[in-house]
Amino acid sequence: MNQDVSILIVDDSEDDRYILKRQLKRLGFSGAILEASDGSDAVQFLQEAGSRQRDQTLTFPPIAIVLDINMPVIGGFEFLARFETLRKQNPALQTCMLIMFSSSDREDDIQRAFSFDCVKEYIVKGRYTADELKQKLSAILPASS
Amino acid sequence: MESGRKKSYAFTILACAIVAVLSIAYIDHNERQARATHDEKVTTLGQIFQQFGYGGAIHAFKNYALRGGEHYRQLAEKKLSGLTALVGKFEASASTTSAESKAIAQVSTVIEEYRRKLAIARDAIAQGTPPGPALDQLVRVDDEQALDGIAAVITLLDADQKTLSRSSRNKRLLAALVLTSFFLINFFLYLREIGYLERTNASLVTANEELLQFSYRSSHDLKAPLITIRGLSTCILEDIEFGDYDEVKANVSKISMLAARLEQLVSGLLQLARADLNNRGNDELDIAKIVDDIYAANLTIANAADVRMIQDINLPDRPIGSKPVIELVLSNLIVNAIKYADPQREESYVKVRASNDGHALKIEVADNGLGIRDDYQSKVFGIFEKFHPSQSGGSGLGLYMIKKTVERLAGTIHLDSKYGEGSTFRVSIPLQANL
Repeated sequence: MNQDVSILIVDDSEDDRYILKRQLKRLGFSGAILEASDGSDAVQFLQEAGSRQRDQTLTFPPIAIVLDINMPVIGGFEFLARFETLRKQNPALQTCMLIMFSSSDREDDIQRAFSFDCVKEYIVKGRYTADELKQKLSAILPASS
Repeated sequence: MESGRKKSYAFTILACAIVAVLSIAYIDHNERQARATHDEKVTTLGQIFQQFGYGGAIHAFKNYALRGGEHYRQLAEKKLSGLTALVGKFEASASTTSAESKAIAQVSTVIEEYRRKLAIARDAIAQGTPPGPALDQLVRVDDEQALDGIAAVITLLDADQKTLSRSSRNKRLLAALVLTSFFLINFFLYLREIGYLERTNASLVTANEELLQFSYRSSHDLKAPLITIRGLSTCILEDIEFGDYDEVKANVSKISMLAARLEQLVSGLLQLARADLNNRGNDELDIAKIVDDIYAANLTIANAADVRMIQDINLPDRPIGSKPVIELVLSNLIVNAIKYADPQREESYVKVRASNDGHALKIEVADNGLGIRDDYQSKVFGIFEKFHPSQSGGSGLGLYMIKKTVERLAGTIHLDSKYGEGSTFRVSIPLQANL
């Protein structure tokens, strides 16, 4: 896997970001891990980094955004709506996939998330084994791991 | 609408229709009776007129005076008796008015006059006076009075008939008016009831949505830290295996903080369910002491954030109200002011003002902290809303709980905040005497 790729974790829980970062590294992800504490931070990052992308072609856009749902200020679903608008403004974001990462296992949350085209996976926090996580994140993990 | 209420309205409308039918039947019955009596009187009057005139009493009387003959006298006698009986019948009628009685009395007077003159004629013939024009002249009776009397009764009966028709029409109109009013009032009450039920239904839908939102968010906020604790525990086990004890220490400390936050959330939920927050209360409120106690209980975080307390309590008498409510409001607002103090500021403060304008207890909690961004201000009283992830620590229940509690006591709460300058919360709770 190219070490110059990046992923963005959007989660208000610093501890959950920490746990996921550790798991990604254990599964062999060696790219940059960017973090945002809520949807508003993430939107701001994508807008600002997007405007500088010529200088940062190596890490932008992230190949995946791992997104929590229940967050203060701008939650996961509001972020998804804004992200769709951002993708129209910046075609580079078309390659960026969304992986939901939430403690909610409610069917309506899952369906609502998959109603957005960019959402490719839905992971329920604490409800997965290492193998399941590896499978769900296979698109961003090195093939050999 | 509830079926019992539907039945009740259906019953009222049915009762209304039955009353309408019965009223009209009663009016019709009365009218028929009045008309029958009237017609009977008209018939009797016709018979009186007939018995009087040609072929009647006067005719027989004249024949007796002009021609003699006992059978004429007996016939006249008979006719006069018949007339007296008819006049009696007319007078005895229940609907005969005093004016009619007076007019018919004129007829009676003339009948008596005829009877008296008939006796004179009989005596004269018995004493040898021959029947003929001379005798007729002797016993002549002025019957003009009787004719006037009959004419007066006819006029009165005619007027009576008109009055009868008018009164019957008026009664029908009145009945229709009363019943229409009754129906309209009932219909209006029915519409009002529907409106009330629709409003109640709408508020129940809102309450239900709020409850769903509450259970969704509370289950999330209770579950999420537990999942994180589990995740961190796995990390700790791995780190112990690799001997990375610094990381173990850091993660144990995180677990401890998460447990504390869970405890805070559970306390908040329990506080929200406390029954005494629903009562207006009857406590004598020493606001200054309540504020001192809250500040003292949070002295550690206040000192850590270097936040000073300023009090401006302007209450000549201690207001009466619910101490748990005031404690809930003040502790949440004061702790928020301390938690969201601006670390860049040299002197941070939280200022509590309290006054009584005669109608309501006014409490103001102002700070010079971080303030709240304009676009978040409308959301601050929402359930589980948190706006400072980095400062964090809150349950997201505090302001929601305050607003609900204050509103239950018919009070209000408003926020005035400027991002980067600070926030002021203004609470107004009606005084016990004004409730």
